[in-house]
Amino acid sequence: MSKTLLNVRDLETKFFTQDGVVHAVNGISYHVDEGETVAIVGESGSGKSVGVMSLIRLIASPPGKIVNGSVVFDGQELMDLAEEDLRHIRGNRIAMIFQDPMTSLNPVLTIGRQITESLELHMSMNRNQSRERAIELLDLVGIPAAASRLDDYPHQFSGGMRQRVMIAMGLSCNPQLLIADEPTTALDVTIQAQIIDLVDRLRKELGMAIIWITHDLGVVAGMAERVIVMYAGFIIEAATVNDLYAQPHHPYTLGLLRSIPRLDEAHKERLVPIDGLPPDLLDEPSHCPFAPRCEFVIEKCWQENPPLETVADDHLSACWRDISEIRLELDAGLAGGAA
Amino acid sequence: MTRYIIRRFLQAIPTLLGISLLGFTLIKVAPGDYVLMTTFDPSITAEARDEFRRQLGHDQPIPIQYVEWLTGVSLRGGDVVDAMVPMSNSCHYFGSLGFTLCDRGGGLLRWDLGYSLATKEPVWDMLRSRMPASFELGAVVLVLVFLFGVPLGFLSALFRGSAKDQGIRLLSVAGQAVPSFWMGLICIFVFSVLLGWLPVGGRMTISLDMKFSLVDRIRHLILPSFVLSLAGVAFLTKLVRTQVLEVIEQDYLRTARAKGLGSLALWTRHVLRNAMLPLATVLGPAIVGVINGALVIETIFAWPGMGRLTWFSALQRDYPMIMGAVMFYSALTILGYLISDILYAVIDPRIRLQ
Ligand SMILES: Nc1ncnc2c1ncn2[C@@H]1O[C@H](COP(=O)(O)OP(=O)(O)OP(=O)(O)O)[C@@H](O)[C@H]1O
Ligand code: SF4
Ligand SMILES: [Mg+2]
Repeated sequence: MSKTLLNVRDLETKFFTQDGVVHAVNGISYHVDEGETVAIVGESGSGKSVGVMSLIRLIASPPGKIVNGSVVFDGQELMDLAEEDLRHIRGNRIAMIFQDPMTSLNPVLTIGRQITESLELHMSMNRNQSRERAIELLDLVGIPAAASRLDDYPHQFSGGMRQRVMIAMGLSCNPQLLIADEPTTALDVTIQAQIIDLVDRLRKELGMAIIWITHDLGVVAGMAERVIVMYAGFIIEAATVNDLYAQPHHPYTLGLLRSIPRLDEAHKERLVPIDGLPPDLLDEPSHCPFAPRCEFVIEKCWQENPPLETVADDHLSACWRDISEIRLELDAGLAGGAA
Repeated sequence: MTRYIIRRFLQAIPTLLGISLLGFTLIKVAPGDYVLMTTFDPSITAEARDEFRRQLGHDQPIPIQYVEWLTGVSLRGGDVVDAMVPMSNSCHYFGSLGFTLCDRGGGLLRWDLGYSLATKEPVWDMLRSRMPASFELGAVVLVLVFLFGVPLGFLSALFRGSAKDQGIRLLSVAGQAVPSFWMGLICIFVFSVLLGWLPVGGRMTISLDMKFSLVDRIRHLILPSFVLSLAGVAFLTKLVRTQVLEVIEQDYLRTARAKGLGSLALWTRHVLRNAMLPLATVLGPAIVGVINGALVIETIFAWPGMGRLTWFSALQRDYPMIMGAVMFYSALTILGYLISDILYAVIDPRIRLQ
């Protein structure tokens, strides 16, 4: 059993806007072990980004506020840490890379400068040392002729190359935890695969832990050990990758899995998207957030929000219904449809 | 870059010609002319005025007058060589075509702005003698505009929503709304007439020895430069505020924060540079604003600059003088915009001039 690197308890983040309070993250708890890759999946607006940005208190305040929770990183509580001390963790021991490499790099600074500024800040390197290291890093992430590209500006790179630059920036100070917030969403499919391979390889070489955010369960399968599924600011299911694919417990996860096209199957199954709209986060969650869209909804779902409970070894799910009943219903439904 | 600059200069030529045609026409179609404005003596008859106009060539159609101003060549119908004193010897009558051409000399195309009707001095000399005063005021105003506009805009954005921000924004709206002539008169009344702290106008205290005194010069500069820079400061404050607020919303700022940068590096390295980009583009308009404002402010404060000269020339319909000022100002404006574009390209690596 490896050591826990990150332990998140009851993390709760809200936005106090003119339209009302947005309940973006509603008391989520999870952990990440050293050197482990944990994927967070969920559809747009489910609180994935806000959830991870809250970890290092990157939420713009106002309007955002972390109203509750504890984040223990390597034995240290981050929520009580002074801003000054937290800055020594950001970019240094916990690094983040973001979704859109087009807009996430500063357009008026050379990429060299954008890498070296972290090194100078956290590793106390001088100009020459940091430039040397920046070249190494660009090399590491597979940017050809790295030395000659140091003084180029972001607009001189393609999308995929920019994301490699972002990764180089993220890795610059040898972080213990790398948070990748949908780093491949803006890229086309072949580049996506390259970036995923790259990060996976680097993790093995460098031994850091990764939180990989995506709304694509298909991406997760190859690289993560565990998956956390979020819906409406809640964790509704968490399990090892294999368990989640083989034995999903939550109706929402079932829906997600059914919506992945299976390329390996002889006959291509029709893509089954989940009906209905994502929930309105302005409402105080008082029932199961998935109830309005759930095929298996019962009376109780509207009365109380189900807690996240252990349903099997290393497997948590938040649903009032028993998975075996759901499977029966599902089979019956499918059989009926086929007849 | 050099090619770009050369091309811009070449492009400026048709622009300036267009401006000159438009300016000339506007002056000529405006009610009143030089002769009327300068011959108030009731004993002068209408006939005498017409004769005066004929001598000046002001009786001719506007296109003919324009060509005359532009090229220094006069065109008249019929054989009028003998009537064209004092330049009869440079005139030629084209009998077969039935018109007379006279070369008066000068003309814009020969790089000559002509002579002022009122003073008979060369227009260029008159402009040049007023330039030091104008540039002095203009430069001080530009410096003040950037010196106050940029930090105020920054503060406003930094403390957005707070009382400080509200106060700055209120002042900025007021600064743009209050007419400068009114503000000028109020300032003169309060600080010069009532309190007697500062001189009423002029560029220096007139004395026998005319010794240069920096303190005296500065005392004269305070009111006109303050009033003239108000609108610019207000405009720039608003622009910088909007710009900063936009930059801090950008994704790359989140990246910078996620690196653990302190607020100093964050603001100077990441926010400032990006927020400053559009400032380069306001340099051109700022010059135009200062020039426009100077017309009124130099007049109110009796500042011996080009603005005041232009204002009085306009009142007198001294058209060569007005045209000279218009051409000079236009060239300056075009230059200002060119400098803006070059500056922009220098600070924004994404822009390539071509
Ligand atoms: N600055 C903000 N002000 C108000 N609401 C916000 C703000 N930032 C995020 N939210 C809200 O918080 C909720 C969660 O957003 P979040 O960005 O975490 O979603 P996500 O799961 O990362 O989605 P995506 O897949 O689109 O990135 C959304 O409903 C969003 O509207
Ligand atoms: S608790 Fe009820 S509504 Fe919610 S997912 Fe389970 S069955 Fe569906
Ligand atoms: Mg997101």
